[in-house]
Amino acid sequence: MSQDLIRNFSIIAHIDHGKSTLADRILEKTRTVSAREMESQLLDNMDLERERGITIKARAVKLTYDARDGKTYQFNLIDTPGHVDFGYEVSRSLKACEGALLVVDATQGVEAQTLANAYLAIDNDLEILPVINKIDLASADVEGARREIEDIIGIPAEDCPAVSAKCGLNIEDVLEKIVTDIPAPKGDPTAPLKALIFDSYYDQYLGVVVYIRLFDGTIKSGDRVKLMAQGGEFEVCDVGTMQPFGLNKCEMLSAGEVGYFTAAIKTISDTKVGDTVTSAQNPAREALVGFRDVHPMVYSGIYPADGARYGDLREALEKLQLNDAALVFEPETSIALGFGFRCGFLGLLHMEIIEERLEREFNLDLITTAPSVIYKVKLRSGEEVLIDNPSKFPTADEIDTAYEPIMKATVITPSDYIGGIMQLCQDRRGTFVDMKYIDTERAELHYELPLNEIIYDFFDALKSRSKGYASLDYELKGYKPSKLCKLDFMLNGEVVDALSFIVFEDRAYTRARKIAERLKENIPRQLFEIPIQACIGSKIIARETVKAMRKDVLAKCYGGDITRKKKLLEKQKEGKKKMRKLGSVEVTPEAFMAVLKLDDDD
Amino acid sequence: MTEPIGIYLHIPFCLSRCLYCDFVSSTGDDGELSAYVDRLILEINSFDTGGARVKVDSIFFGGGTPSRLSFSQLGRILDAVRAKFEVLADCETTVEVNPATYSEGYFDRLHSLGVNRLSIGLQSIHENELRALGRRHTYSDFLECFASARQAGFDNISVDIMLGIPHQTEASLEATLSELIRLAPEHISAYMLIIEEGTPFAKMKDTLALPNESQERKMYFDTDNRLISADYCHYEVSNFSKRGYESRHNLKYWTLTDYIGFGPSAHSCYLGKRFYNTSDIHAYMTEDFGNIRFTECDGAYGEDEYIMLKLRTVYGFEFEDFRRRFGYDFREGREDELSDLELFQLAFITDRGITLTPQGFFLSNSAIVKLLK
Repeated sequence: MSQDLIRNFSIIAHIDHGKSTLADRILEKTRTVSAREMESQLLDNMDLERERGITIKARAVKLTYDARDGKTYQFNLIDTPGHVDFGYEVSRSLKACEGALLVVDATQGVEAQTLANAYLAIDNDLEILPVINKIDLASADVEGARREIEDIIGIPAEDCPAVSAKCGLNIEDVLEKIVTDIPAPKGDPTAPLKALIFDSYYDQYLGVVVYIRLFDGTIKSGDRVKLMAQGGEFEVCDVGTMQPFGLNKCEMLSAGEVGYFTAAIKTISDTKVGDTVTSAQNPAREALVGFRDVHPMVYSGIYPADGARYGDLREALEKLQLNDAALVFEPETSIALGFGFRCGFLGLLHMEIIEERLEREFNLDLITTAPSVIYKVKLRSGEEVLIDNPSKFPTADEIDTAYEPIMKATVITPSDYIGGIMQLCQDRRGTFVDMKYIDTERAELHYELPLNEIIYDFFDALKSRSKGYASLDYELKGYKPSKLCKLDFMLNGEVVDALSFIVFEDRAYTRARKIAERLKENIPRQLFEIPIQACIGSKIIARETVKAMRKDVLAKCYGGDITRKKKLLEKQKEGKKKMRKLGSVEVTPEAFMAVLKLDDDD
Repeated sequence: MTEPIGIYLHIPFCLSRCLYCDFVSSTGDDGELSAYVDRLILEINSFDTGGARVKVDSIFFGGGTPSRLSFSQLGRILDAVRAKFEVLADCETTVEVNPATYSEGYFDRLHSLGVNRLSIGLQSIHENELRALGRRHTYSDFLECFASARQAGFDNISVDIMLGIPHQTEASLEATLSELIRLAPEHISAYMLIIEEGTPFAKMKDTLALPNESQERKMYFDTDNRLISADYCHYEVSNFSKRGYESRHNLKYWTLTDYIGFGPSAHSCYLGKRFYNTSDIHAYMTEDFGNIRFTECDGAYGEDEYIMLKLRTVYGFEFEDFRRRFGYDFREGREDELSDLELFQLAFITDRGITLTPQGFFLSNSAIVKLLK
């Protein structure tokens, strides 16, 4: 197929602005999927994605469109993950395209992620095609949205399509715009192969299925290919294109096209997103720019609530990892929680998704420790260490300097809430960078915030202070020296390793008091009094006491009716099985989780 | 069956219902009473003991208010039991008595029927506390009743009192205990009030002037101290006795000896099977006995049951007995739990066996659960 007839594009949007619905309509209108086959929001095909209304992993699909000019075009729609945790994956998906549809909700206007995604698209030299969505809603302000797109993002939106993806209104306009406004790819089919990996997944029959965008050259079955960053060489088994309901094998893929190849690749970590595929015999001189090895940003200990299911948890994590190269884990033991895994995630959402999938798809009950970021510590000995587990944090006298990750954060908020949000950022040790008014009603705030503060429910606090209107986007800026210390908790005189965490020194007292209180509320009374102590090193900075149980007896079993006593004790026995023993203190997993949930509004 | 068993006879009639009571009872007129006695005797007669003539060393009339029955009615029931079972000469035969239903000459005639033990419900010596419980008697009613029983020759009397009832204070309980010690019954049951669902108390819960948890705890241990220093043995969670006067009936439940209960809602444990009768009096009166008796479990006296029942009394159990029954040493795999219980003084543990302390009794659910596997 002539490259002139190919259009490669993504859809980008702020969460909930209707990206997936628009994708559905495009699939329908191009007759790629009949209405009968139409499942709502086809591209998000994980249950969880459909529920949360966000795309977790990129997907791609090939469409055929008969345009008004009488020609038939090949559209390659590459869906992008819709969350800040997956920023790198988004950037690689965009890299595979020539253009992007920027969906803006006519009732909300431009939001933080709209902006972040638009900048990302501009960085990747994409043609941006704004689409104003949800014009069927009574509160839609199409002109306002146009104005915002022009003023804030600085791209013309005068004649951009205004649609209702939900009702299928004006979708044809979008398709025509794709033909006329998004440039065709311009690769050289005769040059050495140069293809970008933008996604991959593991299939138990085919091995890893690698999604690629060809920039130059061709790829076909039997070719030997090399991955330029990772270094592996493979013989291609199949090539083909992606259909909504599966893969469609073909002879050959050529420059400008989007498709897949398989090569009996066993592990997904061999095919990293962003890597360049080239020919082993006739390699390209240089790889495509922008490859980055993604590293987890947030770590957490995951333990089975029932210690006997450790093996099941390992298997489940291995299965998830087949399709998620960003998930890392290694075995870890906690005195309090037994055997489990320290898992690394791209961000909080990624973490939540993994936890939820483990619980839902693998039917596991989990205990998760508080999320932690990676700290860098320069020791007095001159050695530098990375700390992903608070319990491994060095003692104060071993530390020369501790560093923590700082994020560049963008918040877009209605101006009414600026005060509250600035206060929040201040409280979370944010450094104000600048603020500009987007229009009379909204402002864009830039802060540098420690990731450590963001992961403790910053997002929830932001939402509650802005009645849900403020939006957030962030990316890693770098590491900064910081006064950090490890806060330990002792129950009945014994340190509970799973409760330790790293805190900014000035915050230690407030946080210690709060968690001690929370522990007191959540630890059931036991046969003896339990002192709860929070300490930094050997210094105790907060103390609470769980009083001993006062009474637990069935005074009377009348007329030989021991049934009630038996039932009561059986129930207590069942409860006992679920208890986690923290030293000599028994705590329910629920109580443990309640303590870790730090939804502090204060 | 070598060990003699216990017989429980439920008399579900009361003049009026106490406000805390959830036991099966109705007020009942004379006609109902006599029909009920006939029915109860029929149940006794038709009970299948499994062949052998079974020895009985404890008969207990509970209720309700057994003292609502006439002497001839009580006598007929006893005759039925004696005909069905081999009632041993030293059988402990108890009748529960409400001071409000006793009358002149009552105890002499009870004695003549072979009843040799009385369990009198006092609950408290204070009028305000008795009224709050909905009791129909006064303390002086009780005193007359008690004296009359003694006069009739009853030398084994149990008195019930209650702890943690409305208006009760440490001082008022102390007065009740002092009076009891002065009267010196052979046996004292001191039950903590439990607010049962479906009772008037459950509805009144928030308006009841109940002692708080720590007062209640203090009451329990005050009672323990006071009665022990007056030479009573705290032999079961809620029961005290002079040496040799432990309630045989009560001990049946906790020492894994069989017992058979007759009457609505009565429970039995017989030949390894636990079963109970319907609590619906009407059904009891009219249905086939086979239809109103329900099996609760077939495998009585399993490991958990053994532990929870045996630890209910001060005798606890011996490790050798446990090993004989369950094939392994009780202490195996319970090392931490046992040392915890000992550390917190909830149990006495020797090389031979284990028993709970009074503190252990008061936290017995938690203490026992620790030991269940």
